Amino acid sequence: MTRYYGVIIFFLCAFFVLGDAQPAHAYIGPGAGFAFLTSFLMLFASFFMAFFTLLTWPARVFIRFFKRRKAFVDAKTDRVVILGLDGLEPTIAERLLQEGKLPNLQKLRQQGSYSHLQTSFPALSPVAWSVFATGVNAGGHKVFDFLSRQKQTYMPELSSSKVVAASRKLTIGKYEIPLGKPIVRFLRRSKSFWTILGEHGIFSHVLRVPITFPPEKFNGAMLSAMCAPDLWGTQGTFSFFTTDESVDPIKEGGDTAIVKRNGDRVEGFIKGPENSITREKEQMKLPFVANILNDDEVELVLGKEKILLKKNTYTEWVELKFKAGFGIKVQGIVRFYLLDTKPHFRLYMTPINIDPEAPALPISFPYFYSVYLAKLHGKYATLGLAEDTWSLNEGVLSEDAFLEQAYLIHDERETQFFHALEKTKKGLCAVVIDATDRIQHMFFRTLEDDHPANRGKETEIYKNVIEDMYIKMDGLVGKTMEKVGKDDVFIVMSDHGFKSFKRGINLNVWLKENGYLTLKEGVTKTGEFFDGVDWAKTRAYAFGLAGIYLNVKDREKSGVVEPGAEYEKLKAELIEKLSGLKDPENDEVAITEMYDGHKIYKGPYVSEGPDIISGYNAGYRISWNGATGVIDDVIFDDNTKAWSGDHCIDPKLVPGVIFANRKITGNKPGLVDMAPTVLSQFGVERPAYMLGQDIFADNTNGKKVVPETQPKPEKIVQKEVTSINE
Amino acid sequence: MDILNSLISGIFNIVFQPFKNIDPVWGMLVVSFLTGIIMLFIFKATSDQKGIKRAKNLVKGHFLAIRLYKDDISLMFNTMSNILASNFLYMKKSMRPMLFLLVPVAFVLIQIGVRYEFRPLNVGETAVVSLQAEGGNVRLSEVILDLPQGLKLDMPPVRIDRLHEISWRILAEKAGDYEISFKYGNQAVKKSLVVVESLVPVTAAIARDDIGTTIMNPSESSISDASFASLISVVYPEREFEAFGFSVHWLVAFFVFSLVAAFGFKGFLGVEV
Repeated sequence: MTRYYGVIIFFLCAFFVLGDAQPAHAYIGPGAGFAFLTSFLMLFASFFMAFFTLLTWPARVFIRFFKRRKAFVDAKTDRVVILGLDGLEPTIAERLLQEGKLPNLQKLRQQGSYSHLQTSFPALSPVAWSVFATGVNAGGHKVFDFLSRQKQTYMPELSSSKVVAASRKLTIGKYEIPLGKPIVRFLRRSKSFWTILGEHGIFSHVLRVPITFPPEKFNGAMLSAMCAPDLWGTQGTFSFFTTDESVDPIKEGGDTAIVKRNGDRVEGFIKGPENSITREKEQMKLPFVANILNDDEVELVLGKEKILLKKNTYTEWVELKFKAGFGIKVQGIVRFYLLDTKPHFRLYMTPINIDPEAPALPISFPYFYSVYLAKLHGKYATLGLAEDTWSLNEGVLSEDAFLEQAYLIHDERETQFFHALEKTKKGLCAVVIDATDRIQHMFFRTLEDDHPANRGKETEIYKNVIEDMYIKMDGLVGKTMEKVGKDDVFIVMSDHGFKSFKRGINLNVWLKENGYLTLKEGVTKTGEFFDGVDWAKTRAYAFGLAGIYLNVKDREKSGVVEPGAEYEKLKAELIEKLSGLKDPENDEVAITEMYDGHKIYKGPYVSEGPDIISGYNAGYRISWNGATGVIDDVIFDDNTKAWSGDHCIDPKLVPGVIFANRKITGNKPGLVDMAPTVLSQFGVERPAYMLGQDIFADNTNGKKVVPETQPKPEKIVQKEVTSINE
Repeated sequence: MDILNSLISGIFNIVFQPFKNIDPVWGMLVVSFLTGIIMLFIFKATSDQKGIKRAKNLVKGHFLAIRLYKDDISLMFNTMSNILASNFLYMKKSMRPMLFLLVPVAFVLIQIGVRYEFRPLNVGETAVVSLQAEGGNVRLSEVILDLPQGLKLDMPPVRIDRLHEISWRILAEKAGDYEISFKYGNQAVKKSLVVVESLVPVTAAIARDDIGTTIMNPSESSISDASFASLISVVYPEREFEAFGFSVHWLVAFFVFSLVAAFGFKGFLGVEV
């Protein structure tokens, strides 16, 4: 300590002695020059901007007054805060409430209300949160599943967004330089309630609400969520580097890379995205060297950067820069997790998230909002499905490692949420927390001793993971309540509930065995997505997680079912045969009900959706093979994967929850009511095409509706306003 | 101090050697660039790089907030205060490396200063040489200036008894690196005087018991403790420095060149400044 003071005194003395020296008065080095210059420039620029903003502020207020003079005039509150906890299951929440383990949710319930919240058809997050956003069901917003089918190929594509490369290109040697940016098309239709609020002068923060990629332009700030891709363009592909050449390659959601070890030195490369400016579109690569320091530590050398990897510990976010050529770099971020150094080197790397500080694709609105959050709070996960469930499913990450990752991401969300909340003095602040959904997916098995997924896995020590997660979320609710005033509307909600997923059903196999689907001659097992199906002899096929489509003539490429009577007859026949379908293994009902898509959905896109929606019983879901369009001879099978809980079952069995600090007066509130409710709280009238009602209104009957404002090309047929779930 | 000065001066003499007889701007350019890059290394080693990056990010983040919340006047004022606070944090983070840089940069600046602040005399020019005697015991009338061939006394000495100071005006007749001698009784003190048209260090003053003057004039040894003189100074002409057609003070040129070098190489060297 004395030495430390000595050093300080030396430098202070030096400063004063040399201070007498004339040149040193003026300048003491480039570092200092930078510090002062940067500080000065930053201060100057920010004060200039503030001055300019202040100068133009009266004019903007004046314009706003005329354009949006009704903002907040009829509002019942100045602020609405929505905390979405994806997949919070009512039965678990109610049990814990009863046991007194969720004191904050209990308090919120006492202040206002608690109810089940009817979910969407099917009960899937992309569908459900789209209903939440738009106030219409999938027939109106066009997101019927994660994937939608291409009628001309029967192949899947993402239902909510599509990235289209620039069509005009300049060819120079091996390079093919696109003349323009890639276009990211937003495929969800209808108008979100925050867009409507914005049109009425009400500012919103919308954070991580699923199906917001690409982000919408509106009066507010938005951070995209579900379906925002990784740098590979997938929905999340992790990398697993190992020296073990005998390891089975990862089947789904990950990439196995065999690396070479020479003594304590391991060499390999990280696969990047395709190089879109070359003709060959080869994958960009980033070489790395891993120097094994000891059993528990590795020094990872990536270009000039050296990162210390510690066994069973996540690194901070690491920037990866892939050079495409002509000085163009594509930037992503990853976390590493060292699994082992012996007998084999084993290293996990998260999917390459789009770097929020230099986004390769738009992940926020305004575009700099993602940068803004990263500058203030550090880098964060940007992938839609950020918690890497595949790595646990495939046995690369342990339960503990997965949980740690999920909570690291959760902490980032929480920070962003409270930041947005602090900035929302008036308006909407909505956030969706994903950890609730992902953790239940991966740990639901621990709630049931006889779950097939428990085989060969540790169960006992993870029995409280889900309960602990609910308690943690209750803590988040508590912290939020401290920041929410009694005049604010505060809603905690989930889009659907959760049930166990013990047994899988492959409906395509059932369709095949019952003569509705035919394989090409000699094919006994298809590849993924119907590779081997004889479409000319196929009348129906299951696609996605819950849909059955009839192979309709002039609709599908090789359609054989005549529209009209034949179509209706076949649909009714399938609904009748499949409803109440039993599992021969245990004689349990596997499908409670099959729903007619045309009766469930309303809106201009009904014909795009499935003809029949599967309502699986609790404990059942589409099998893993069924989900990827693989057809063999197994209709029912055990689910032995870590992904052991699900919600894509009969929507009546998995309602979500809603807690609010207001009395819920509406009957059977549903997701479809949320948009009208928020609009009503701000005094904005519900557009006619919205299907729900204000759940806090004393009397929703006779409420005036505004003319239809749904954007073109949709033409909404005015229908009786009823909830789809009623 | 004289040993340190002699060591540093020796190094800089070697560095400046190639630029001795060319436009002084090149010497300045190279030394500034080298200094900028070396200082980057020191800055990196002595600073909290993560902290500096974090502080800069905070400033940039709050800066973006002005754009984001431009319609909300209270948020904007709040953002302004955040920018100020983050800027102070940034400056605080820069303090430690600045203290570490202070000493080496001061030595560099002194070395550049002795070459660029003043220039040597040209043939035909005059300079005033002054000697300040130690205390009142020295009789100024008995102090004799002994000039070598090539230098000539231009005017009789002027004595200011109150200040114990005596001054001579000297005319440079011939180029050379001279040593002039001051005698008092059997004591003698020597001081260099340079008459040349190239980039060499000039020593404007040497002193006894004055660390400031010794540090600032490193090319020549200080006056010994037993000497009758406490300070000897030569008023050299100021160097007019031109950088690529612009007449600027050498400090400005050094500032700009070193900053450009540091800015240009900070990314390459991975330094956060």
